[in-house]
Amino acid sequence: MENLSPLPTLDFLLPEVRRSLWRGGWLNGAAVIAVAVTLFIFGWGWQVSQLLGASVESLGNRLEITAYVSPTLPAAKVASLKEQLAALPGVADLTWIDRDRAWAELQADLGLKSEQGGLDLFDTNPLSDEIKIRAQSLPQVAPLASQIAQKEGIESVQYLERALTGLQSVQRVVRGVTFILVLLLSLTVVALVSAILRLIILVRQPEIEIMTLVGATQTWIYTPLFIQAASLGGGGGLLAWMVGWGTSQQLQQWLTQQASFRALASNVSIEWSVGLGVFLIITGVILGLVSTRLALQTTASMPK
Amino acid sequence: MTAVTPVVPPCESTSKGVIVAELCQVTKSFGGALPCLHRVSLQLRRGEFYFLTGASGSGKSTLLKLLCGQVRPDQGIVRLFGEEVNPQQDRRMAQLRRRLGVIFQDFKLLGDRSVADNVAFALLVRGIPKAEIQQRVQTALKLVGLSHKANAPPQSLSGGEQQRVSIARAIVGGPELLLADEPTGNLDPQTSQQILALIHRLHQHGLTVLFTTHDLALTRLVPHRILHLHHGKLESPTHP
Ligand SMILES: Nc1ncnc2c1ncn2[C@@H]1O[C@H](COP(=O)(O)OP(=O)(O)OP(=O)(O)O)[C@@H](O)[C@H]1O
Ligand SMILES: [Mg+2]
Repeated sequence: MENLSPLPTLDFLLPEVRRSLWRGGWLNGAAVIAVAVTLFIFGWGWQVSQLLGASVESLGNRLEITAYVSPTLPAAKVASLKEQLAALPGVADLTWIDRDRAWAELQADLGLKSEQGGLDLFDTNPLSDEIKIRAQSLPQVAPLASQIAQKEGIESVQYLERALTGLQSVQRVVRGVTFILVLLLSLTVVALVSAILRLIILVRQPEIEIMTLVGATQTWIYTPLFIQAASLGGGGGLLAWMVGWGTSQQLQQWLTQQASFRALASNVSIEWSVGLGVFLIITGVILGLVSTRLALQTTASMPK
Repeated sequence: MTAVTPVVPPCESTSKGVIVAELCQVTKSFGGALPCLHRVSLQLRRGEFYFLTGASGSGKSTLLKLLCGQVRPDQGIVRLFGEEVNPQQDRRMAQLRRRLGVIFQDFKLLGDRSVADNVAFALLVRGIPKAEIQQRVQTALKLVGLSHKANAPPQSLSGGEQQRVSIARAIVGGPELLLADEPTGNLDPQTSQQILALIHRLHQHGLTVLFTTHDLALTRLVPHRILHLHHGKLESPTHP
């Protein structure tokens, strides 16, 4: 008896896949576009959430609490305040800047030099001692700040937390919306592509019947269909990436001309990477394969 | 509960090599008032030629479909070459089907490939190398007298020629049993005789044949055993 070779030969596969694609006609295009739209939306959702993440990070450098020490605090208590602050939970780093240094730095910043005589404005140093405290993580900032404010000898506390948590929640929303949208679209795409594949199975029924009768295994019969669906899905992923890459190029060019963007995240690129492209193609292929399985499961191919 | 006697008495295939196909007490119903086939038993011996006759709707096609695993029996056992036919066992069924040739009234040729490719298809799905396929297809086409039409599309052929192509496809793999489901049903009497003559010649070279027809005139042309289906029963028993 002949051996059953488990995997179809290329002599069989290539012509069959070609025929199957040919038979599918415009349905192939519909499948590719459906996958592409889904993955395009996913790609942008991913990019935007990456961008927001990077912005949060770059702002995070400035994420510190500045506490101003009351000028009336006796010098003897400074050391104990330092210790108390350093012991607070969530403190990553603490720098004490005494008022003389702060004053000198401010003057330098403002370009006021004593030789220029610009200092008449203030006879005395108007600043107080200042403490820069970095929190370990963003959620710790607000509670830490209020704890610091309660310490004896602290006059006031400043921090940038609001803007950051705002950005973070935008990022969360973008992620969530992308996730839900992509989930819904994926389900739609799988349903659509598997309906298309069912049509193709229907059109190819004569072939399938003959193949069965002359002794082809199910693997041989349906591998061309899996390959077809995988290539349509992969094609959709590639199309999504190409369009996404094009739009991201345009947008990047426009954004780099916007000062506010440069200030927000100067080192962030929104260009679609090759890695993202590979990921989208693989995801497209997986969508195609899942659709094929579903199509086969819902097609009665077993004899009654 | 009382002991229930099995509906299907054990059917032994003692003469494994001699019996190529058998039905044991097979019942198949499609939900109608009467079952299409009712407790039909049948043994086909190697090297024989059988006519299967019966009125339209008597279940001839159903019987053939049971044999090639396209339809599952409600009760009873179907065996091919000594092995039970179980459509759910994909690989084993594929193996059994490779020892069968099947032809139909409507030829079932694929319109989007040439005559030669239609015949080759039966070998292609078995993973046979291209060179061997080419050679075997040539031989098969020569056998049915259609070498000169190898590259023609099947639609350009006459009914008789199309049936010869489908016969070539059925025999190209070297089957042990040919199931012919009304192969002359669409053909005029003269062409029908030619097709029968061709199949008869293949039989003389050793092929076992089950040939269904409701054309009794045809059955008189060659002297072979006739099985007759009537009201779900096989009326002419197999072997005395
Ligand atoms: N898939 C099916 N579903 C429902 N009924 C079926 C099915 N296949 C066959 N039948 C019924 O079973 C009976 C036998 O059908 P079958 O095709 O075997 O008859 P036949 O002897 O081949 O007839 P013909 O000579 O017209 O080809 C018919 O009454 C038919 O309606
Ligand atoms: Mg019939």
